Amino acid sequence: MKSIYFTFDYVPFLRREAVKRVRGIISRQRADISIFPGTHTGQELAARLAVRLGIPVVSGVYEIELAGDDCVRLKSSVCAGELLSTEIISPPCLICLDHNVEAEELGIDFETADISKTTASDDFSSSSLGDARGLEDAELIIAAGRGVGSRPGFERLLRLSDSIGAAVGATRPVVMNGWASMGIQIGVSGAAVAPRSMLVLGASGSEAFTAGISEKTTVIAVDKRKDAPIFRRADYGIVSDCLDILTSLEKKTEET
Amino acid sequence: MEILVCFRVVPDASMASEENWLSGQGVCLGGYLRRVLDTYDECALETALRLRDSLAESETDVSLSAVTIETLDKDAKIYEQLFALGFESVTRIDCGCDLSFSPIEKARVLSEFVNNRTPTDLILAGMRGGLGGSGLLPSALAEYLDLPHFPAACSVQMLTTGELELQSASGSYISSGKLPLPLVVSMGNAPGSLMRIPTIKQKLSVRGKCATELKISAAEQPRSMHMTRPQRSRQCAFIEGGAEQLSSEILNLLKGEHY
Repeated sequence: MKSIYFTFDYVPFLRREAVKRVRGIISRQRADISIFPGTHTGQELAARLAVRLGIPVVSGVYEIELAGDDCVRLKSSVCAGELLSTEIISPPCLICLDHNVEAEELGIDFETADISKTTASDDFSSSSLGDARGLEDAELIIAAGRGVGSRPGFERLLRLSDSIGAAVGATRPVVMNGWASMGIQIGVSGAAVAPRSMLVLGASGSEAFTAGISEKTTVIAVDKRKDAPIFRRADYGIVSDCLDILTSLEKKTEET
Repeated sequence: MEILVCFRVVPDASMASEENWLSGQGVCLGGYLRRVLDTYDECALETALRLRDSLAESETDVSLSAVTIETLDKDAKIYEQLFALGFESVTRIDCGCDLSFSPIEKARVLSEFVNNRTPTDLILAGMRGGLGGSGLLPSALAEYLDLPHFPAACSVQMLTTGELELQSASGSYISSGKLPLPLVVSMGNAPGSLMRIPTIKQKLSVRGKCATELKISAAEQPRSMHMTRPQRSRQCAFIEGGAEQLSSEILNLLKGEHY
């Protein structure tokens, strides 16, 4: 079974010639499995080709294994990582990787086709989201969820983190509320972090958020609801209003 | 200017307990869970409202429409909210089957709807495409409609030249540029983009207004997906005590001193 992994540099907007070029490569090389990175560009190529070629596409894939002579078993994460799916399909097919997975981790042999020259677009300018990089390298992180209640609540957390030398992260609702910049969002659609320790204040713990936290990180969670999903992903839990804990932490750090 | 937003109303997954997720082989997020707009779709709806507001200053006529694929009529209150905020039409497509895990077929159904209405200048959608969202739907819709697609937008503004000024955030990059219409834009992490709440006056003015029901048949594409829950649970040790004691424990834990 022939597999091709398509690689390219980051592009914010895909040139449509790229789809034509990839289609040509798949056709010429008679690829059974065409694999794309789990990026927006990878998803766009896979989706457009699925329409053009009329073949199945599976996204969020993290493992591929042969199942007999003409089938493959695909393992993928669905519902923003809340569930894992296993399914058997017959190639030809298109596969879009999970955003955390590199093709080398798939467990199958493949050829690589670099299509960077075709995807590159001059119409857009790009720059780095500086905050996220700091978050990804941090040893200590304090992350805020909706429970901080307001922008002033989030700003109190910023001051606390400054006084104890921690980086600050946030869940998606905090960013959507406009309390924090999107550069510090943690999770499936934000930064993947691996600090030594992390304090999570007032986040219920959706999979989309916790998927961005390393398994090796010691997680301390504070939330009002004892049955909040965050406690299933935490090593230490405190059932309390996070603003009360924040007040107490502020006093403690002022004393020291 | 015709703006169409594709949206989904989904069970509030953040309220789901462990046992809510699976039943046998399938997802069983029960009907008793609160139903909410998909968060990325909510961004798309609010973005459409902001574009309308900004274009009102230049006296450009903007028509807002919204469309969803949903077999059962169970989200009337959300549709009413959209009418109250100024969406002129809300269409619920009943395709007779569940397309949660069939983004390509879902895109085909939506493209059929788009092709049979007034020419649309801008199609907005959330980048996830609903609960079972794979991120493939907006690109597939653009392909069916033979339109360009701009992914993961975090800011969308109309320029006097008739072009859209777009910004996207993806990984650790932020990018910006301009694109002409017509276009499909999928909304990503746009800060401050929770959908506004209609006033009581706005709500009263549309009371009882229903979404238009439209039947478009879809080719059901059965996928034999065996679902499991990821085993990522940790043994959480609950710490109790007064606020002062708890804050001391937290600071010790952050320093790496075990409880």
